[in-house]
Amino acid sequence: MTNPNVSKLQRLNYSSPRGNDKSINHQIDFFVETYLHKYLADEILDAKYKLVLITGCSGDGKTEFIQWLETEKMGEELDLSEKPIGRVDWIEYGDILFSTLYDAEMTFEEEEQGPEELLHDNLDDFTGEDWPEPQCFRIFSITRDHLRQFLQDNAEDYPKLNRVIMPALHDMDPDPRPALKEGILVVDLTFRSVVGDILREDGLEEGCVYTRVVEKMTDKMLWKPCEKCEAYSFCPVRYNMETLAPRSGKPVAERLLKLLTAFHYRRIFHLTLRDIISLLVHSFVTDSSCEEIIEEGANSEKLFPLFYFNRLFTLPGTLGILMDELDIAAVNSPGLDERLYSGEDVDNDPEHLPNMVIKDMLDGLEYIETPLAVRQTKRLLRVGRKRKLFFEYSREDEGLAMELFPYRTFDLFDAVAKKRESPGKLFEMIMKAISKREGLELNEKDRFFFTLDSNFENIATYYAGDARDFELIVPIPKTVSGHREYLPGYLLLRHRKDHIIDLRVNLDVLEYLLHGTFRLPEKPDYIPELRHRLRIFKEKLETELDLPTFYIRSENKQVAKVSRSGLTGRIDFITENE
Amino acid sequence: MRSELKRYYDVSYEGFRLPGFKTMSLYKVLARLVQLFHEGTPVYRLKAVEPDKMVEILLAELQHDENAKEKARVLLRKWLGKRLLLEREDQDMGPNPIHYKTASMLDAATFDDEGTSVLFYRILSSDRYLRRAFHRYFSPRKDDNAEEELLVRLATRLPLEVDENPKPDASGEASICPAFERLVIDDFKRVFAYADSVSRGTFVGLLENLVGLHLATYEMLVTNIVNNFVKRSFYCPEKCPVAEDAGDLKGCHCVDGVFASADRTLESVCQVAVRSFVSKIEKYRNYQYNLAYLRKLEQFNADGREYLKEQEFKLEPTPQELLELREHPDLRSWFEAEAMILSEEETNGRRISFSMLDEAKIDAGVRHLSKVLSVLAPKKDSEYLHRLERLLGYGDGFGLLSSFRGSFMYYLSDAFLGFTIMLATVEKNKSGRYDHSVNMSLGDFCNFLRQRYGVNVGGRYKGGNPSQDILEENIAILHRRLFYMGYVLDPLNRPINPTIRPNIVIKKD
Repeated sequence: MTNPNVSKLQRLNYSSPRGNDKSINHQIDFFVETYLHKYLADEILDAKYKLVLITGCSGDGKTEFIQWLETEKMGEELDLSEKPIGRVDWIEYGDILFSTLYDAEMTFEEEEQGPEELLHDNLDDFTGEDWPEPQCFRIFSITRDHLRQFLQDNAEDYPKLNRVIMPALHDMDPDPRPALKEGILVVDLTFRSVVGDILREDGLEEGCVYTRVVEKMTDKMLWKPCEKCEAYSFCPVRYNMETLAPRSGKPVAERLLKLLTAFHYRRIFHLTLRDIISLLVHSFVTDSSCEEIIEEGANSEKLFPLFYFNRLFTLPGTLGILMDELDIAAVNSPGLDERLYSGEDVDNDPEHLPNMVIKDMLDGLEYIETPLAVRQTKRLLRVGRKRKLFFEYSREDEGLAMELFPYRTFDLFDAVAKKRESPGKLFEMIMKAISKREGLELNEKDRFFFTLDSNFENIATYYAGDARDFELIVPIPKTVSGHREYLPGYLLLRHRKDHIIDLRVNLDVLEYLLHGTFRLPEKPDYIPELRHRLRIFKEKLETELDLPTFYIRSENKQVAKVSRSGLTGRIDFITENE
Repeated sequence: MRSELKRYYDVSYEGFRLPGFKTMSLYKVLARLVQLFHEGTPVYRLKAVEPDKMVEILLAELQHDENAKEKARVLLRKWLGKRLLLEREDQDMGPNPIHYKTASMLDAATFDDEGTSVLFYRILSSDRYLRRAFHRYFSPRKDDNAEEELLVRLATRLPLEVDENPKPDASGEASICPAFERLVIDDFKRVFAYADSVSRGTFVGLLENLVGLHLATYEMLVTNIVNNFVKRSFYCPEKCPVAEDAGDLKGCHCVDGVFASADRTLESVCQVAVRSFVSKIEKYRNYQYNLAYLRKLEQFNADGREYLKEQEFKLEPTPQELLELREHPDLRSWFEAEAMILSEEETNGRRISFSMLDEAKIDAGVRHLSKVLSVLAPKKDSEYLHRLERLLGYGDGFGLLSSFRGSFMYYLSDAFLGFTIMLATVEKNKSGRYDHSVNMSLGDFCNFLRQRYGVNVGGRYKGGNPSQDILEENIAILHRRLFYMGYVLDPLNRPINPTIRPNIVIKKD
């Protein structure tokens, strides 16, 4: 007995060895509604904007949204399997004529119309300073880099378009207002987050795109055919999906969401819709077909690598490499290691599928011939069990599971980023931590200390900054209106008046500041680079702040304060940590 | 023979040692430069004063509690050692040239950097703007921070004496490469754009890095210029292919392509780096050999003038004329005779120069290196690494290349990246002065490194060798590092060619 949905789902994974489909919404069974579909579609159909530019990364769902608009809203018949690149279409909806254009940048120069010509052709209503009434309402999906390059290269032909759109394409703080005044909407989907509860101007909204994808994928109906399968009792895919389903009552989906939110707070990689779906499919649905699983039978060694906790960190590509950097199995936790050693995790629930597999493999260790193979299997089991504990420890044992979470500062960061708490407390901690990392903590109220020397040196000089001149803010770009789910990826520490002095605090920076080390000893920690980032911040402080006083710290922790007063100066000794 | 080329092979009897680099403090070179560019007459310099005496003067300047006097004395002595005298690990590297007064603690008469400061002095004084900028920047200013102000104040309290050391002739020949000189001038102009935007300490650090970087670049150039000359009789300073108005070395075939891995783990990229390193060592060996060969030809010329009196032997031969002596029928027998003399205990200088031509007598260190490198295997032996680095003058965190965490590979240090980003992100205004910051793409930054300093991080470029595409991955890793260092703000998968933002932004007027 096979489940046809397994192969359908597997085609949604971009790294699938059997080939893949471009978009989840090409499979109408798996359609996931986002704010784009919910709030923007009607505005477009009401002809509110004469030009809509949807930009974002590959996999954000730009083209998919337009195709969905055409097929589901405008009633256009469209063969979704055809190559959508560079496709232009005219659709009459009511008495309004719409024109759509997908991915102009991906066409080839050699084709009838290269990327440049396609855009010139479709933007002829927007040349010069005076625009005629538009012949039709246009909806483009286009990458930001291409759009920006096109506007820069052709600024002479499109001076006004260049002027109004460029602010909306700014990297960090895009301003959509000039474009909106002209009836042009720029939707940058890289400002959409697929994980974490969604921050809206009126507060937090429960649930997020990730949650909806999980609900859709674990829908009971999709997995009904599995109930009659001969492999039901040992099928790892069946087990994975049941454990992921929110209805199972297990915390797997929540913990994975937390891990992915931490990933988001590193802000090193923008998670697209396709990334999330691929990761979930790769990990939970795996690459194995139903036939293969049935054929292999209950072979523990084959089954073990197919459990989601082992596959989560193996996705090919950059996303996979970065996920692997957060592998909880690399977290040091002596308490949990002891539990693993005693076998408590396996013995407590012997009927549980992964436990049976683990037990079987443990028993089989004595039959393995070479010591190297024994060591490898033991290692495999140890990391797998550790990951399983993290994802499956019951909610009552949340504290224990969190011992394995890579970031100790996650909750602090999360509360501020989601505006559940004001940044005041965290701000104080950060300012204190700067002094601590720098190696000089003095009981001077509202002051923090920094040095451009290395704090390992025997003698170092420090300057003091006034913490009251600084603030910690949650950056919310002007562009985030109703069309995107948004969660900030970093916090901004900056001088209240002089905004040049700023430090982008992502989760890694916060972890380094507050703890000085990372919990993942086997993974790259980027500490030298983070130190360099702090140094840049300190150089800005040194350049921009007025520094009439400095402190000398000797190797025996003696501290003297040297201050300037008129034509003379003064030196006073301060004992540290009084 | 051009005096500069002659000078380089003269000093090479001690083994290859580029003036200044790794043999002395760059701070001292800078201090000398500051002295040279100061335009006051008569020229004063600070008398040599014992550090303890300086502390006395400082204590008289600062109010303090009487009972803390001894403690203050001890602490200030250490502070002065570090900040003004730049004492590091019991070695005196100073003085700290944050001001012409502090720089004038350097006694030019006892200072010998084998011409490094004069090299830079001559190059830079050909540009009026830089001459003025040097003088102006290191003269008194008001906006110092408390620490720098105190150091300068101390320097003004120290006793003076007239400096009678003659200034070198600024108009003399500087280097053997005209394109290099233009590059140096362009880079100093770029750094001076930051003069008002960073503190003195940071600025002096920038200048120090710049001098170090150019010494490394020059080393690569000189090695290749000499090798090309002996091998192909092609003296490139006279046929320089670099455009007259270029501020980089684009088109120069003497820039040694230094492949650099920006990664800590990528084995394949590392292998490219290793191969590149091997070819550098080979070039270095050839360079030593060629220098010795030129020197021997000069001796042959002198002997020929004395004994053979033929017209091929000139009084002051040009490099080309020296090379032509290779065809002389008596050269072979002369070499044989020289070898005989050598075995009969000749002077040390002749012996060393001659032995360079003999494979068996090649310097033990170099022989060892070429043997190990022929296996192409990454070695983890720290002493071996240390030797390689010392040989090429790299290491210490700053440099073109450095080892990283004990594994053998090239690695662009954070300081190098930060510094070159500062250089790369300033732009000229309409009047041709560098005066404001711009954002630049990662691709342009990599081009900047390649065209100016021969550092090839990777990526395909016009005219580049397709085999270098294997460094493609390097760019992604460099991108990730720059992201963490705070120079790139976009997430990794967003832009195709990410934008680098300068750390210090100089606003357009």
